[in-house]
Amino acid sequence: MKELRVNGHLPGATIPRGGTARDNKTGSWRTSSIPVFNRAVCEACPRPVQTCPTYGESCSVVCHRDCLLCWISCPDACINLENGCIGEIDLDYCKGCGLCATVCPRGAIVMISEEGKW
Amino acid sequence: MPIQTKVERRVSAVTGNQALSRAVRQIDPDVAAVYPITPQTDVAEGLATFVADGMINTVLVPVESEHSAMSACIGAAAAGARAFTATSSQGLAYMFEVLYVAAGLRLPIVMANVNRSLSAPINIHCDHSDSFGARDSGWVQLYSENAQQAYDNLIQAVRIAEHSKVLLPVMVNVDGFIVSHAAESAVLLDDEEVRQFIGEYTPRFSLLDVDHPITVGPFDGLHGYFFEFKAAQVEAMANAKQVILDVGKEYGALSGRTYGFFEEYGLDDADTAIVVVGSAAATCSSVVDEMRAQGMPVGLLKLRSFRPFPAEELADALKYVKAVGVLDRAVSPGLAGGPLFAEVKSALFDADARPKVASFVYGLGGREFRPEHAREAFASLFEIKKTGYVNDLVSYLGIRKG
Repeated sequence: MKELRVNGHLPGATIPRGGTARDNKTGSWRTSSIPVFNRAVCEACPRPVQTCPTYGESCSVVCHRDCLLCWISCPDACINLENGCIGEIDLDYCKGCGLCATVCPRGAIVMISEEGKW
Repeated sequence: MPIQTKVERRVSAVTGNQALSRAVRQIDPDVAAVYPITPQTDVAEGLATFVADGMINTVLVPVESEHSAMSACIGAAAAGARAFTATSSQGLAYMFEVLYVAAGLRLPIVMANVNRSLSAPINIHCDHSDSFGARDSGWVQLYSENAQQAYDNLIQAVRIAEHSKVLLPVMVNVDGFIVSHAAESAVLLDDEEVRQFIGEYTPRFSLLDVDHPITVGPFDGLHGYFFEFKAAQVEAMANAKQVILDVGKEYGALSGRTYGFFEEYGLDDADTAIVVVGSAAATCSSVVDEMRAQGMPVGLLKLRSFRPFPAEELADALKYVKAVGVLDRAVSPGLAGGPLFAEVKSALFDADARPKVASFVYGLGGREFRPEHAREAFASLFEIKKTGYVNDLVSYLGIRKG
């Protein structure tokens, strides 16, 4: 009977360690645009906001330190926090979906075309 | 450690389902996730009773569907547990996508499938459409002729599945109602004998071992090794052939009942033969006895292992036969003949003296298979042997005319 290893891998593709999702740089799937964060716009957001540009009077979110809408919306958890504020966007994992730019009440994140970079 | 009990005598009157649930009690799996479905229901009930009475240490997961049952077994098996489930028909169909996951992750789950037809029209009786449909899912498939074989197959299934060169899930098939609900005598092993035979299971990894984390079921993209892992699965299925023989022999030394890929019945000097799986093999063997008493050299091959399919061994066993009839309790609309017929015919294609092969579809939706149907099949085979032509490639046995 033959040995069942595939190219050094174990049967069933089990990997003998955890946290392996980090190895998969999903940013390589990004096709068209990258998010660019404008810190000045984010910080210029009045605290607390009186009339939320997105949700109006019904908005219960207090911007901007307590906003973090982009952070919580990112499906790939690639928006990093620094001291409770939005920090760098990790492009290793960003797929360019643009959800962060869509949810930002102040337009502090804009999607810029990456075309020509490939 | 299983709890030693003195419930069973060595000879018992059991239904197929009772034989299965008693085998499970003796195997004492760590986890059983079962959803009841006719005609499997009293396997689930028997198991629940054993758990409620504290006779086994099994954690019984009362899942809300068969899809969940198989998913729970996959989780449990990935955690290093011995996992068991049982189902029938629509339940197996509902498990379909997770059957491939269990096999692909190489988890040695054991399942009893009590064969029943697939809707529509809705029908609760036996045919093999359910398990034949899961043919390519990567599960080892064993078939049982009676309650005794259901019991024996289930115990051997644990050893086959967990063998380090196999690591594949095993499905033990038992004909619904015909075997599952009919009481017959069966010789059951003592608890201690079963415990010794199956041994302790030492999984390679456990998903719950937080000190040694593992990744189970990682994404394998376009540039991964999906193709190679599938080829390794095929390799494991090929390895299962030797393991089935070894385990069958070892079980024979323990119980007096040795198992292989199939049982040859009067094949030595037969010039016509029938190939069949499941309970109809018993009917066919009585017809073979009767016809042989009248001087007709007829034989029977009772197939036990459908996956892995023992093509070479089967061709060798049928090499002196002139005409072979393959009985299928399933249909594949659009295929010329039943699914088993296609495989047997393919296995015989390269045989030096290639026998003529005819397909006989019988027993769909539990339609009774009677001795006269086996005689009818043999009569067709005699005609084929005489003329050398297969005039009717596919015949339906016991179908109503008009």
